[in-house]
Amino acid sequence: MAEIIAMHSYRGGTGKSVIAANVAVLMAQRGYRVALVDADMQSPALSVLLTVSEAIKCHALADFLLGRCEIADAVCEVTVAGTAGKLFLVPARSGVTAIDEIMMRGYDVGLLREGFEQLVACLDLDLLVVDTHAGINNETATSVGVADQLMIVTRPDRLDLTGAGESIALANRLNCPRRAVVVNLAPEAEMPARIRADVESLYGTKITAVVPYAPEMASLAGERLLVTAHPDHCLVDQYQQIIDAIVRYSRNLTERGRAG
Amino acid sequence: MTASTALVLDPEHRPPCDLLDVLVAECETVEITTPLALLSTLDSMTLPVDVLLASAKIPLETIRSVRDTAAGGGPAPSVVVYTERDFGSLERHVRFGYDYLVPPFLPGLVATRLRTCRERANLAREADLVELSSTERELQIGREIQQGFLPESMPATDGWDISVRFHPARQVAGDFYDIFDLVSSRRLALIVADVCDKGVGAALFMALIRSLLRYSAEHSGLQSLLISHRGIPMAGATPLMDAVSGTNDYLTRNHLRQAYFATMFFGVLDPATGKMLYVNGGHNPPLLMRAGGGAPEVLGPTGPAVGVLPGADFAMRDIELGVGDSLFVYTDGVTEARDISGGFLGNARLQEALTAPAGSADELVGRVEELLRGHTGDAEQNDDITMLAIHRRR
Repeated sequence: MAEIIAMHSYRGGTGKSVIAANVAVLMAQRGYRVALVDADMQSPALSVLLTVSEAIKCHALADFLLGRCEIADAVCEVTVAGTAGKLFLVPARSGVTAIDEIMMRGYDVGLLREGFEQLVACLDLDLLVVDTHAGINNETATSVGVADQLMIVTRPDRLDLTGAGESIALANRLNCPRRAVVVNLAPEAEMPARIRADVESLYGTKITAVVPYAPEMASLAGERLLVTAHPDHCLVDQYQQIIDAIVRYSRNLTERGRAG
Repeated sequence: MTASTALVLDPEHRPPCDLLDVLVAECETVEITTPLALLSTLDSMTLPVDVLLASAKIPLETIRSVRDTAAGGGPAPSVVVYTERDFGSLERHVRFGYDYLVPPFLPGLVATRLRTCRERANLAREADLVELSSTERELQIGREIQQGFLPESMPATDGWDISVRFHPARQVAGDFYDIFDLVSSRRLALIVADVCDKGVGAALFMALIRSLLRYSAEHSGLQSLLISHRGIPMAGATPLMDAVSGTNDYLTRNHLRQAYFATMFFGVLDPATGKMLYVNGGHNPPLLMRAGGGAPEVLGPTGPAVGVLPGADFAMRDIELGVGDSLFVYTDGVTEARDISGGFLGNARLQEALTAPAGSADELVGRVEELLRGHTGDAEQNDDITMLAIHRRR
């Protein structure tokens, strides 16, 4: 049994993929076997963030969905130094052709669930993190439907918060039991009480973590992850706080006890 | 010689002498009878008769009836009506289309008339044959085209046996089966269906329904999960439900007045795990035989026949075939096969024959074929028979 986390943002640009990548690396550093699935086929990000080269990335999730490979063939291992844990990545696509085909022909959405199950089994995973395209689409719905926890990443602004109702309705309909809300790109680590109350009321849950905007993150320009470039940065504490919440609410991770 | 066999029908058994003389000279056999004596004459008569010469005094219906009897199962003889005095009595016969002879019965005149009759009969016979062969040819073309709607070969699936028997009752059938890959070759679609009625009408709808099912299943792409209330589907569920519901919607929207529908079993097998999703639209329940034997499990209907109810709800069920298990899918031509006295084979006897586990799919359908042969004997097959068996070897 692995814990499955679905990442979701109602709008783009919230930093959802960046949080997913940093959290996954930190989880692997804690000794867990972690896989990141980039289910954002329209605008994939994870293979860039984790600097997986095109040479390694011969197959991807889209190839699996189109019947060109098995899901195990689409897995790349990402090096995480100094840990017994493992980090694997399933990139969204290996080229632009696959996305054209997927958009034109579609695919059997049941394969996503099947692919997740096969990944958990063949990689002996503790944690599977699925990153999805912003908004509500089939990949989001499938991920939320099979996930143990839904992690919603939002900015503290009205544009993002208008989608809260739809995100929560989706989670309710698909019986996703646990929802976590991460407020990213906040002006300050301490949020005004009024905004905090608004966010918690809209999502129906306490805020898991507030991750403030950091110039150091911006200056990395996506070249490296913050957790590897600045492991002592105060943002890493916020990521650790997210992980603590994931572990605390997990039905599977604590039992495995891989933390080291 | 102009005709080989002539029958003279005269109420007094006394045809005109000069006419009779010519007939005897021109024909190999000449029989004379009265309408009343016809039955006893028939026994000794040479059939079929080529030309029937009848007195104009005999009623039209009687002549027609004798003509049909004298045909002896072959083409009807030419009819020539004669009279010596009451020429007005010819009127109704001529209007009906019969030829006629009136005195003087000169040899050349009668011989020519008989020859004309013979030629006309030959032409009519040939026209019948041409018409018949044209219909036969059309049906043959229909049969060949329909064959193209059935899979050319069974897909090779590791660890599985598949066997099919397809016996139409007529030249074209309303039954059909189909087997094809789905979900990027990760699933196998198996269909057995029975379109109501038989013959050409059923065959036309078979072509339509088979095409709708396969096309919908193969082109079932992204299902919008946002409007679906079924939750997250398993692989294969979307093409299955799209095909069955889509075909039902199409038929009820466009062809409800023609009242054609189909019962069908549509299964989607995952060959890797043995799991199968299925919809049974009002079809004879397929039988699931376990490796250890025993009474087969009956996969009853999960919805109505396809093409009957607009917006009908079809439920999806699932089974799992373990190693050594088999699934037997068939049409009602099997259980409703009749013996020589009209008795059905029946569900009970079929199920009884399937209590012992099967060694292979071929052995399984062979076993049912044997059962059918023993039951029907020489009785005519009155319905299409389709059987499909799958067996998991490993």
